[in-house]
Amino acid sequence: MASNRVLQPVTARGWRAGFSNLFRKENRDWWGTRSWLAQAIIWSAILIGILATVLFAPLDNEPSLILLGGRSTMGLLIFFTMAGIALPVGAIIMGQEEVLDEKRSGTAAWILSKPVSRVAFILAKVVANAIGILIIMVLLEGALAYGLIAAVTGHAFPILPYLGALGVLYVNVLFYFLLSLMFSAASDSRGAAIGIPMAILFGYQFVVGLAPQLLEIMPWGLTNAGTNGGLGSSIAVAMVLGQSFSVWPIIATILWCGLFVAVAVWKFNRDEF
Amino acid sequence: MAVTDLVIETHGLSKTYKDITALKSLDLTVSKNSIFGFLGPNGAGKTTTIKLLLGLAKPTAGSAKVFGHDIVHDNVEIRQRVGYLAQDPRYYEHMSARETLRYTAHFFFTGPEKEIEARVTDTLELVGLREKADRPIKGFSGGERQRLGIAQAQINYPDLLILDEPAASLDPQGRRDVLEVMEKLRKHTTIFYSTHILADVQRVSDTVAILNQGQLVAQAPIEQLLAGGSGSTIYVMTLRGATAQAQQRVVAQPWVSALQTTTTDSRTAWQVSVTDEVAAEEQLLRLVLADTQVTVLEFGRKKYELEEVFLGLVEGNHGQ
Repeated sequence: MASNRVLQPVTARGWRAGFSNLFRKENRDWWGTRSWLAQAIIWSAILIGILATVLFAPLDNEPSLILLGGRSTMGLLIFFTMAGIALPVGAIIMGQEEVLDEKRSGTAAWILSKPVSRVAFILAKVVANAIGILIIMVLLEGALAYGLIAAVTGHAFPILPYLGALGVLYVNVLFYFLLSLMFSAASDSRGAAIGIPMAILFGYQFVVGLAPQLLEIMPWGLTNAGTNGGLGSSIAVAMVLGQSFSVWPIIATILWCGLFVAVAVWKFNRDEF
Repeated sequence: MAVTDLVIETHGLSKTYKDITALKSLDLTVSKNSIFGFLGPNGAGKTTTIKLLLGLAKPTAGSAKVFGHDIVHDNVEIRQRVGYLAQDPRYYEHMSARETLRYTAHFFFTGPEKEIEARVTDTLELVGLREKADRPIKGFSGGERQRLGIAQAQINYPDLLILDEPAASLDPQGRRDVLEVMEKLRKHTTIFYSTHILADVQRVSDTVAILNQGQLVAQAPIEQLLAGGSGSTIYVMTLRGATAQAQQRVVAQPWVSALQTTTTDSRTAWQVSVTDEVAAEEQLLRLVLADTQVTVLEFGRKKYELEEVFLGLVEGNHGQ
């Protein structure tokens, strides 16, 4: 049998127990397979495909285009609006299976029979997926959109505000991913893990109609067109265009994200396997 | 027994799921380097006990320590020294056996990758999976999964190996293989395993606990249990000839509590239940041999089969 002398026991204790190994595995699921490539292709086909269709469409005499301030602004608005809906849908689908599938298949019980903390189990999924979402779904697509808009219209938006807008988009996507993950950890219902986040994503127009002040504490105004006053604007677009916007929805969404992680950890800690 | 010799100790350990009591006030001790068979019918509370010991479930009442660590507050430290095979183990189906063991090993060790690989290869060799090491688990048979289960449970060379029904789903050959692996491991570790296959327990265990309806009904070294240690002592005799007078003499002894006779052909079999083993061993045979009309063909202390003891304890009719 192999010698024990060279191998050293893992020393991480408390909530960190098992985190590095779990995190490596979650990262491998993103980057060690073709998952990242598939994600990149899918999101590019959807988001950049739609953006290209709009940018190349013969819309020069369209009144809406004139109102929006030109083809580049319209491209910006289309990208953030579409990304603000499509990426959360993808994130919800990813989030709902993260914990629930492992609970149902029995792999969670297997992992937790090793020197692993339950906090580490949840956080490894959160951090690895947050990195994957940032790089593939937000930064890559954001860069492609930026390049396409600049190439087609000849107008390049200022970089820093654009990166800030991508940050807003990222917070928006994370909100739905973590909400779905929270339900995936807190319940055994796939319906809840998908249905509730989807209802929040798509039901905002109805809710905002009844209580418009909710825009200040929910992520709906971050990327959805027409939620920041003015024609078609959203917080992300306003940030790029130098328009005024409220920071409260950004702060509130970040706080929601923290709350979702805390609830997921709390509930997972109470589960029995 | 010195405290440090105890690997597992539970005190009044209880678990209730809603209105169902799965475990009632379990007091159990498992000493170092034993192969401890944890017996009981389905639903007796064996798996519940194991999950409590590992921190996968929380007790409703009572307490337990494994290696002196509290199962509620220090369960990561416990799992660092334990290998566990679940009753129905599940792994990532897309991974190969080698990847699964490598992943498992990294929960316990850091060090040069080649040393981890050497550990993985040794373990695959131990359970006879080396040739299938790089195939995805989804194509594995039940026996291969169980061997992988034992491999992942012992990749860290645990001080305590907990196996939940390790041979339950296996064919006779698979069972034999698993028992052989357990016997190979016994010199390195304490093995605590649950089962309802009594022949396996009798073959490999040195200590046995029997659980029924969530309650411990017996815990003893297997030799003691098989010798009737949990009930009255019985001596068996096979006699030829007229036994009536000898029977009267024996029944008259104050240390004889019962005598059952069975006659077949010209032979009479006695089962003599006694309350004083020393007196019985000194006097019983002499009392019978004093009668010249009787020939003693066999004499000895009754050896129970584990099944007999188990059914007696579980059904509450032991010694009747």
